[in-house]
Amino acid sequence: MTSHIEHENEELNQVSSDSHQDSELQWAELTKDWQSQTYPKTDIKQLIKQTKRRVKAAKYWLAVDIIGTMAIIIGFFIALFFYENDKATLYYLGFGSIVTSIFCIHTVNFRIRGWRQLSDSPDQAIHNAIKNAESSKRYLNLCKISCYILLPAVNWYLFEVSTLAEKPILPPLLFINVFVAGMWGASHYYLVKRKKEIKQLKSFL
Amino acid sequence: MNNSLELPVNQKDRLQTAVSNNKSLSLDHKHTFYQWMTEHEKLLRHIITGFEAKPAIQDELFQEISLNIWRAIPSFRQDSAVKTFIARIAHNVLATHVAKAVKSIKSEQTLSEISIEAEQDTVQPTPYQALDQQQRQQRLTSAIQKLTLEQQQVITLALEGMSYQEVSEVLAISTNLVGVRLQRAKQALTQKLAVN
Repeated sequence: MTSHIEHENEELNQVSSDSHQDSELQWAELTKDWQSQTYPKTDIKQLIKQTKRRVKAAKYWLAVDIIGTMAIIIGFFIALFFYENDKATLYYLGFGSIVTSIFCIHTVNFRIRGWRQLSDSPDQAIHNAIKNAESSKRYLNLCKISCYILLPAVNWYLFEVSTLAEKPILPPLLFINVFVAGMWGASHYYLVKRKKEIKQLKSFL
Repeated sequence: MNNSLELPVNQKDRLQTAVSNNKSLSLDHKHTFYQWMTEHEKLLRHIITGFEAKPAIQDELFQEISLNIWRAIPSFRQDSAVKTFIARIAHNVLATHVAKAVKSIKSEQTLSEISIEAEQDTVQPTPYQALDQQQRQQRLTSAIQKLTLEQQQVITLALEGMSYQEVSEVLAISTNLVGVRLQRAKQALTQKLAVN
């Protein structure tokens, strides 16, 4: 009886060992197949050129953002000290300085955070993507809100300037209103896109 | 008089040193990137195929990962291996991609689409063997693409021959968790391959 049980145990061990060996063998075959996969060779020199171009473009747009903001702030101080009677321009540049500064700080923070997350844990990748998309959503909301404030402010400014300059008001008025409407439309489009993206990312967690 | 002349010369020297330092840093950066990409291109291409089936999107992902590697070079510390550092950057991009995109499960890459410039094995198989191998490889990548993100992550790294320790470094999880996830991933992969 005992020898029968021992024999059965031996058989069981043998089967278990065989199945372990089988799975090891199968894994080894899969590894071999995986590692011998063909792939299109990349021209690394061309890749470096392309990568450098993309990095430069990102830096260029960031520089444009910062320089533009600085120019508006400097313009505001020039108007404050030298053209204090031109109230319309003064208010316009003052308002513009605050709004563009907020946008600029937001953009710089966004980029710095993005660069810091490059070698973060992949487990955090989706959380980071949600954070970035939410940050982008806030930025786009800010764009839309600034359009609501910008529209009356710009119309008022143009009206004030046209009364002093005595020039026809319609062409610049039309241009600026279409421009602000376009800005609102683009912000709204990307906002809807971003909201969908956040929903999808959250559903993945 | 002399002092007034020396100051600009010193400043000029410092400026020249700064410029040459910048140039050498830029060269180092470029050289490091070139070396890393040449050595690990195969790893990156293989990992990408485990997450995305469409060749055009695979290329986009490769470029995105390359850009992130370029940007991350200054933050590289010698305490980790280049291979795990690169794999971590790639997995960051790919995890986000999988979560954002609706996965294209069916592999659209036909045999004729595989580049003739592709790297070949050192031992050349017969045409029949090659066809058989390519079919098995396609079945394997297609099955991996159907796994969950966590399973895809461990299985692609394990198939690349990484140890538990290396996988845990890439994914920033414990080695025990790597073992558990890998075991589940292997079971799931076997089931998917059996269905295929």
